[in-house]
Amino acid sequence: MDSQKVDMFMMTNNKYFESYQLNLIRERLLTLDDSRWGMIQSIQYKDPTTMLIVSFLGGSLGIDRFMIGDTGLGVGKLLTCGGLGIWALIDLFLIMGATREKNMFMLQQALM
Amino acid sequence: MIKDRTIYLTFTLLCLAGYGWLLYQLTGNIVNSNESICIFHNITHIPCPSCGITRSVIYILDGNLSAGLFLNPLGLFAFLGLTIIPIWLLFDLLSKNYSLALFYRNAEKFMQKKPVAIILITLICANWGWNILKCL
Repeated sequence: MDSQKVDMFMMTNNKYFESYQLNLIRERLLTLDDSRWGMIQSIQYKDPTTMLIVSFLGGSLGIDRFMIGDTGLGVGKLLTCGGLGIWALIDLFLIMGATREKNMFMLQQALM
Repeated sequence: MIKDRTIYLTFTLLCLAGYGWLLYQLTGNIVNSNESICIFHNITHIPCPSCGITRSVIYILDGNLSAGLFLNPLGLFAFLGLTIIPIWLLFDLLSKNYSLALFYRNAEKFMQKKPVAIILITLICANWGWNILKCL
């Protein structure tokens, strides 16, 4: 793929991924066929900052976990009142990383 | 995708916390008091969908299944989970199997199907409404 397009993608979407993943994504996109560009562009990534706000407001009901697609953990949080509040508190620190990992998973699925 | 290790660690911690909490409630005898540690309940003064599960499990442990189900039907699932999951964890540990992780992934996939998700959300919301009506 054209390096200009890849750089544009990286600049627009770098906040959705972990910093250590950025180089890998760039290299992978550079070797990718141009016909996949449309599909890569159309992926809807979850914003880690939005998830942090959701986690703050609805963390004890597990809404943050449901939103990023961790349905099992969401059910666990919902049924335990956010793990007696402790899990909800821990998730405030974990949710941004978890969201970025989910975004990476979505991109990997699209690249396959 | 969540790693197998995370799944087993989460289940182990949840079981330990569940048994610890249950033990604390049983020995502390504060089940019938109006104190709650539920953040949602304390902030909004509205019971959350899982309020009453501890009391429900304690009723079920006493053999009073109907009272437990009336208080919060989710208590039965918590009771079954606390009974089955430790045995399952031990079985997987001894047999070096990953059946619980496999079950978790399959259950997650099943719950993510739209019709199933809609039914489950409706049930949880209905139960929540019932909790509010019962003033748990």
